[in-house]
Amino acid sequence: MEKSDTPALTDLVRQAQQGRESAQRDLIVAYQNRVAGFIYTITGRSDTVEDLAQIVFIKMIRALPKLDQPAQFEAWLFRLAKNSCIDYLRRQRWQRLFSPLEQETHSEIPETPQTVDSEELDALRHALAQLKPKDRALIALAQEGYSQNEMAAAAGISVVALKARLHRAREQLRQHYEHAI
Amino acid sequence: MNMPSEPTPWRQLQECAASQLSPQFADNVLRAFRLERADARAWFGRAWLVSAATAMLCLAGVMFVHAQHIEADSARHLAAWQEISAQTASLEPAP
Repeated sequence: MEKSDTPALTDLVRQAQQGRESAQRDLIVAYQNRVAGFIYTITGRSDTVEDLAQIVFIKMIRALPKLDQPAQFEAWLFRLAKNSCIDYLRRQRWQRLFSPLEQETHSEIPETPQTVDSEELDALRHALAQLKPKDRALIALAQEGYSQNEMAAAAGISVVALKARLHRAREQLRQHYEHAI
Repeated sequence: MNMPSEPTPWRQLQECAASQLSPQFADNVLRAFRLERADARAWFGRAWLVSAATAMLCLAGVMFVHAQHIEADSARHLAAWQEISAQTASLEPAP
């Protein structure tokens, strides 16, 4: 991912940093589906995808002028998305803690599979739901093509620890997936 | 059977997530950002007005108290001088 940002994208990011609304719009359109998938992987809730994606892109527009290296845009955007998802899940946990009478908040209720969903998608969703949010975030970052160095930096752990955690998370995902399918 | 590392279920997951976004998603985000910025500006404007009004009130209060002190000091000094003047006049020998 470090070198994947093309000169055209870097130019678009620079224009967006200068406040050009058309460039900001193009950036949103270019990344909205990937960010939505990323959010879905971490939260496991389709009903939060649009709201969280909106939060992520508003944060992006607000923080763009502070991005020193436009060439690192993609890595920066997905880090922003990861932090927003982790914050969201943390808030949900606190809400559950402080409203014991409403323990079964909507995030606790398993999402009912859509009739059009394939068996594989249901199994993947079920397998992801069994992982810890931070492990889901690692898997999502790996799916987005993050390098191990970048993931380690984003998670604030060493590369060796990252490799072990990622391996364990993938193994758990595989087991839950195989069990579900 | 597809494993999670293979692209199909991941692609389906991404498509499922993308289908949750409204067709005007980018425009909605930009509109929400504009509203948020306008709200922030209005909030700063109101905060600035409240701060300025508070500062003016404090300044007026300080000036009022200061003027009261000056007036009281002047009255006290005048009374003291009048007393000194009366005592001086009483000590002067009669012609």
